[in-house]
Amino acid sequence: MIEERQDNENTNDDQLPPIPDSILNKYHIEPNLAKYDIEQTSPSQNKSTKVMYLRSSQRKLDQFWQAFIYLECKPTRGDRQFLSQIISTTNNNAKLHTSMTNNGTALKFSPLYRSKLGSPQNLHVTLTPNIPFASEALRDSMLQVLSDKINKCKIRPFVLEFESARACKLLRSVVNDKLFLALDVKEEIKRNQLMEIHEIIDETLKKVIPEYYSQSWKNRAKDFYLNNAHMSLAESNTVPSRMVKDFKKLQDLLSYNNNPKNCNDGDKETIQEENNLSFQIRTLKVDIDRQTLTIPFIPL
Amino acid sequence: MEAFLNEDDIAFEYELQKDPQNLTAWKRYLDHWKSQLRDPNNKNSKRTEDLIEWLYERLLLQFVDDGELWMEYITWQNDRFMANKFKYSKMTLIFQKCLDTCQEKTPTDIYFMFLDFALEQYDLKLIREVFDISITRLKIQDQGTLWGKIIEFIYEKFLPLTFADEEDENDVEQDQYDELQLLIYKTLFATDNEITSKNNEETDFANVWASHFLRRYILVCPPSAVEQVLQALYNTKDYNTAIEIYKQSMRETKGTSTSYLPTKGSSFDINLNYLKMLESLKLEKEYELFAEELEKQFPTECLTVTILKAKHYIKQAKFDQFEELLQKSLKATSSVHDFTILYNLHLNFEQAFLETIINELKDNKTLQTDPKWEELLSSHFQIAQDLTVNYKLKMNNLKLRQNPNMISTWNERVALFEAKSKKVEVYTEAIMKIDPLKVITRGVFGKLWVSYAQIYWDSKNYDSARQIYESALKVPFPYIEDLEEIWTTWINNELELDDGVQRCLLLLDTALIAPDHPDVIIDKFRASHGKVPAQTIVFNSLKLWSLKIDLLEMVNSTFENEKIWKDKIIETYESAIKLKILSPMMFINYAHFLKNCGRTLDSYQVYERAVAIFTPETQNEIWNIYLSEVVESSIISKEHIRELFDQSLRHLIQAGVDCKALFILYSKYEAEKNGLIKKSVDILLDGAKNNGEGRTYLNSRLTLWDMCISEAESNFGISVARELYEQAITALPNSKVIPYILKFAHLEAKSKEVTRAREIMEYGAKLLPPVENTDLWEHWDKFELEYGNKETYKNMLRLKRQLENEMKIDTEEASHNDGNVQFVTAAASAKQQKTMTTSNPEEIELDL
Repeated sequence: MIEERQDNENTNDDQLPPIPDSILNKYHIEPNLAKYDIEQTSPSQNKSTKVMYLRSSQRKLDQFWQAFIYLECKPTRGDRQFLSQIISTTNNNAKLHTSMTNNGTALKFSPLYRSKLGSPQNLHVTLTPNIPFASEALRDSMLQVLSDKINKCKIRPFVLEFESARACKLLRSVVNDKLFLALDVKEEIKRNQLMEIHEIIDETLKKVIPEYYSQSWKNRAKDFYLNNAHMSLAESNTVPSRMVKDFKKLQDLLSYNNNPKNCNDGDKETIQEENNLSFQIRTLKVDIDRQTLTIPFIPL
Repeated sequence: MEAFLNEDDIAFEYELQKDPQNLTAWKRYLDHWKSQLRDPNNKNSKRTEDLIEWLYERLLLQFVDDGELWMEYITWQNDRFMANKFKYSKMTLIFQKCLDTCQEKTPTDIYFMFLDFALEQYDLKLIREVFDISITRLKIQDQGTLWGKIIEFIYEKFLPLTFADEEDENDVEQDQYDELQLLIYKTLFATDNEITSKNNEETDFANVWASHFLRRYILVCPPSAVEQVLQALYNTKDYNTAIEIYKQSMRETKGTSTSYLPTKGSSFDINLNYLKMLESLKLEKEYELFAEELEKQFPTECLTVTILKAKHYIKQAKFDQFEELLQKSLKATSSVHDFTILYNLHLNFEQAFLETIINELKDNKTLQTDPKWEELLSSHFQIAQDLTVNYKLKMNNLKLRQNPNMISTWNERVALFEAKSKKVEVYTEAIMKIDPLKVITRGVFGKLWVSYAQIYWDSKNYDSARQIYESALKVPFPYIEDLEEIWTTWINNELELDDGVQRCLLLLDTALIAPDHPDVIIDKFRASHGKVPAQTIVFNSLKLWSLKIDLLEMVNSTFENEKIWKDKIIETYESAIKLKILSPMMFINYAHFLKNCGRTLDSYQVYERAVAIFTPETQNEIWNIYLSEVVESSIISKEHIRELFDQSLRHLIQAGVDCKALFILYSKYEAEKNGLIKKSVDILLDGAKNNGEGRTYLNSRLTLWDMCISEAESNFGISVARELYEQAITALPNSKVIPYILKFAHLEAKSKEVTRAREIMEYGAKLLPPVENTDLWEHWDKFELEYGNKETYKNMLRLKRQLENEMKIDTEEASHNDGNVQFVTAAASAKQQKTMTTSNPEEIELDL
């Protein structure tokens, strides 16, 4: 992990223009290498389950065109330092509790604002799961409808704010193999802009793919992507299942306020409350294939 | 009348009075007069042509509508006219009188003659009159001839003659600059009188005259002639008429359309004429619309239309539109030819514009008070400057339009800018426009990404540079060289930072993660021809594996302890071996690394794994290094070492590799490490005999023979050496064997075995012709002087002469065949023996 510290890096961004989003969007997902790493064997041959699994999952993916909608947050250098502080505090907390160790190695979160290779990476607030479309035309139609609705709606570019860093929460992956450290989106934003965006997405999906859209899906989406709208900051992907099983306890233990060390105001590792994160949101992002599309919110 | 008549004529006159309708009498009378026609050389002749004409007139009064007679009369008069005997107006009257009196009975040929006459005189009014009356009276099948005469006249005589001056003016290859200056001057400063001075009534009449005929002709002409008629119509410069006819003509082909727009139904030239007419008639709206459509319909002729439009704007003083058009065209064209023409036009215009205004301001002081000229000069000076300063950039734009995937063009573009921010702009534009699958040169697109990132890295904006590197690694490159360039540059840059080693190792670990089925993926990549992204085979990059190994061997302090560091290196080497990408040198480095770690036996195993992988030549190198280390080692047994030597030699000799070094190493090992001199000599002898055949590795075998004989002579004396010399002499080719003969002979002489030495030299002498065997003969000569007598010397000379005479052909052939020594020498020797016994050797007198 690349530490967020003041080295001799030049922070004067005025000298050179920032890297345009167009470039980052054009090549933001690497080629899918897994699809080539499959042995050309007939199904009758007794090959490993993994190979068979890859083949079948690949086939499933190939059957659909997908789209994924989200808000993108571009952390500045200062933001990254602040997030680093949160993660570092959480990792320190984990070290204090023996129940959070695995064979002597403490639970450790790695930041999501940097890629595995160490370059800065944008964070996001997920608005939908991967939505499957039976055809490319259908997906294009969804994008058109969504774009039209966003153009006509009253949402303007806004500042995305989060709850206090002290309310940083723990989430787990669907298959219980990963833990995430996340910040909740501020209630006010959820009630206003996010609520409206969700309604637009709902209406769009209902219109374009009614067979996929259902009331249960709507409720589920509302619960997860609106009520629990959050931004994941860090992940830990070497979590023993023993720990994840007792998720509630883990949440309590990692809670910022439950750690006596954090009550000491003089401690350098405490999170500076006033340094809350906020990001200017001007567009809605949609990932399709290996491309990212942007749908701008019309300014006043 | 009596004055004209003589006695001979009285009889004719009486006869005609009696019967005025007697045509025969008239003809006789005429013939009689014609026969008396005054000869200019005969003063006695009385009749003049005027008299004959008078007689014709009288005759035609009697036969008013006799076409035949008129034909005869007109032909006769026409001949007179052609001979300049009277004025053209009189001839016209004769024709007209004929047409008036004969009316419908006028012979067809007279119409043609009359028209020919009128055409010959270029009398436009008369031509039109004759044509009009002829066309109404002639039958339809004769009208074609009439039209043919008129059209031929218009095309070949009238238009070239009437508009010759103007055409010439346009045809002259006038310098473009001068032409533009003239246009600009006319537009800005010329008065109306100056512009319209050429228009006069005469020209207008001519225009209308020609267009009148063409307008009528286009209605009856064959379809294939329409374009030619239209072209001629344009040439008449009667644009008002011409444009109408153009419209009608096109409308016919276009059906119900009411507005005329260019179509491919007509040629580009015809459409261009139409455009020029619109300009002349100042139909601005139609001009713009038509020009735009013309470019669409004839995209290959865009340049011509653009130049025409540009000049049109100059004429109209629409300089802003001129600038806009040229700039737009320069930005749009993809042809170097078109670009050069447009660029020169633009630059010439700007310079001509500036020069014209400056000159006029100098000459006309009143103009200087008007600020508009200064403003114009300033703005056009800037444009001219922009054109010259940014020529390379504009040219680069053109190249990019031709092929946006040519990386070298983008690099040229980057070099055109000094400011980093501008360079960054070019890189971003390049990355957005380049299609990685259409880049044909390996590695260049990767280098472009790297150069882009380097600007940020050099500015210490590391995070941005890292973002660029990471984006670059997601590009679906068809060539691995691009990805190697990106990975290595990123890693080398990180290495320069204080805590960069860990990052570098992380990067390399990520880059070199092997897939589950490396062979399958490599096969797929190779078979895909660029369709499978090169990311799939980065794990197989020798360059990156080498970098990783070098880096690991360099940075042991980065690891918690030395064991972890060593294990990491070994793991890396093993992974690379597993992927079959380790080079021979890397195997050797691996072995050395293990040896330095105190794992000598493991290092030997690495060598043995290496020799199982590579080609025999590479194996030979590895065996040499391996066995050089083994012979110095004490941890494996002698028998094992011998087994390794035998194994390597057996395998490599069989593979046809030069094993000289290995034989020498093995021999030295036995002599120096084990004290087994005999075995050492035997190894050299084995090598001298078996290391290649014929000329293959001959020099290596010679070295081994030298070493073998030398060792034997110094350690075991003459008896063993003698045996080895004999074997060498037998085994080696003639061209190489003489030094061994001489050494052998020298050895025998040194041992007082003079006879043996002489026999050896005699044997050697018979191997090559004396002329090619000078060393031996010189040596023998000295030998006989030292050890021989007169008799032996004579024998030597006798033998030399015999060989010179008799062995010449055979030995020459034999000497060229190095590999066939035994048979040739044996044959030569046998022949020589025979010759010596049968011939009668001459006596040689010696002066010793």
